[in-house]
Amino acid sequence: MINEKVPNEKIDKKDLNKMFWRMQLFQGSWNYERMQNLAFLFCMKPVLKKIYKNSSKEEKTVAIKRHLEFFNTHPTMAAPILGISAAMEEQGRNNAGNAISSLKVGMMGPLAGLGDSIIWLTWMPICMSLGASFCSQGNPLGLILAFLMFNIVNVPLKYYGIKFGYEKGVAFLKETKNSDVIQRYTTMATILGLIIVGGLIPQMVAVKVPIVITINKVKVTIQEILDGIMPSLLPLIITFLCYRSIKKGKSSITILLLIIVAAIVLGAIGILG
Amino acid sequence: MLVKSLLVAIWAGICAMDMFGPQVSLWRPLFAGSITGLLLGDFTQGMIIAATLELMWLGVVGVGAYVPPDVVAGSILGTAFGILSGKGAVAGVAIAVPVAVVSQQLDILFRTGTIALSHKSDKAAELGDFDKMDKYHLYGIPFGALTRALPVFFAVYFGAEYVQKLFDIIPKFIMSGLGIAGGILPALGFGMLLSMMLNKNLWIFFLLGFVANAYGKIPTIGLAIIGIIVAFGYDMVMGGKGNRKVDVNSSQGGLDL
Repeated sequence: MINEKVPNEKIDKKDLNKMFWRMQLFQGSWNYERMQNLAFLFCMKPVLKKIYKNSSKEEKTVAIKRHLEFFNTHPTMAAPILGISAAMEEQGRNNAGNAISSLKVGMMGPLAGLGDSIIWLTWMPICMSLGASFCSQGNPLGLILAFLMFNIVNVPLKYYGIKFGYEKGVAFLKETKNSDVIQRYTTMATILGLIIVGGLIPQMVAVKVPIVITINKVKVTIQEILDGIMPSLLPLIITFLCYRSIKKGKSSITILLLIIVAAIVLGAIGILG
Repeated sequence: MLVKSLLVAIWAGICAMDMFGPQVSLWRPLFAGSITGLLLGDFTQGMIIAATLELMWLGVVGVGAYVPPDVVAGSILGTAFGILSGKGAVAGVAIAVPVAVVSQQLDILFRTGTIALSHKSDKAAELGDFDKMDKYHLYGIPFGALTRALPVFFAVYFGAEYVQKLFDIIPKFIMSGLGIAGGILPALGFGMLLSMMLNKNLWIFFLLGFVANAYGKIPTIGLAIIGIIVAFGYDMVMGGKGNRKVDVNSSQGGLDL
């Protein structure tokens, strides 16, 4: 399966540390369209640059574009995904491209849920409310306590998350050098990823039609009718239209501007809200 | 007042950079507010207001694509006005809530603007130069800091009403339109992603995930468990059909990778 002949560049501890430091800027370019895509590429860069050192320009472009796709997870929990992606890039390079993309998507959803519920909604409130109880009496000890407590969990999770992901990833891939197995795992990862993406659409794509119509003196909102046909019908249709347009080679910038203009116009006349 | 406004604005920028970066919790009301108190010369009062705001906003975090009310500008200005007006936590909360909502609008503008960085890097990717890609991510950070530092500076220097007026210049339908667009735009991200993933006859699994969440309200972790089960099930059925022999142990000396 893997036929590219190039000296294998090994990722070492230094590279993983570089990823850790780069992760400290993870939310810097968060955007509505592809969310943390640039951040992911930014963290992967030291590793990618090493692995693709002797590759052609085209190979490098393929690798860059792979990590410019949509990505969104809890900013701390991105660490193990980065680690595994690094391992897969190292072992499989562009030949493992599909598997890498699928794995990223398959992992980002569950880890986001885990990070949100454990870090954002459990550990942080515990630390901060403890700190607040001191601070409300004017005791600065609360600040120190909250800061230390929160970060003693937050920072190691990132640092060891990358290492853990990388080591597990390498060990796993070494065990499965059989190309047939890799093909099968790619398909499995793709299935997992597709199920996650399908389930993310109702959660993340939000569009409502607040128009109220009166039939036989009964007031019905269009949204209720749409929900009656199928919940989250519009998000599904819009996603599908975007997918078709991309497949047909439409530029994503055109689609982006179209969406913004449509949202402003339809919002102003009250069709969308 | 100029020096104090500048100091507080710089602190707001630092808090914003923490929120967009390492997230060591400086962006939380407890820290953003307390240090504001320190800068304005009343650390104790700052801590008291900050603690009130922190407890009020404990659950306010960005989850998924949701952009929450901006606690950074909210707590900094809430604390600042609580101290400067001499009215303490009550005035602080009264100011902090509307400021957080207004500042959230600015955040939406910022996160719409950063889409341009994504598209710029799509173009730059053709060059195949890894080093050149870094800057597109980094460009976002100073702007993110300014989205908090600028309003905080003007609000402390001129008073909060002035900032409100500034926001009124932007027509309301533009802001609400961008809000709507923000809800729709992830569809484009998913569309691009699917155009990469949907190359085999696997679209049925995409629909499965959609239906499970749209009808069954199954959360993402539940979906992942379903996904793993389905993936293994698929592999059992299809893998068996292809009569594939898998011998993990024999791969010891394989250098075919």
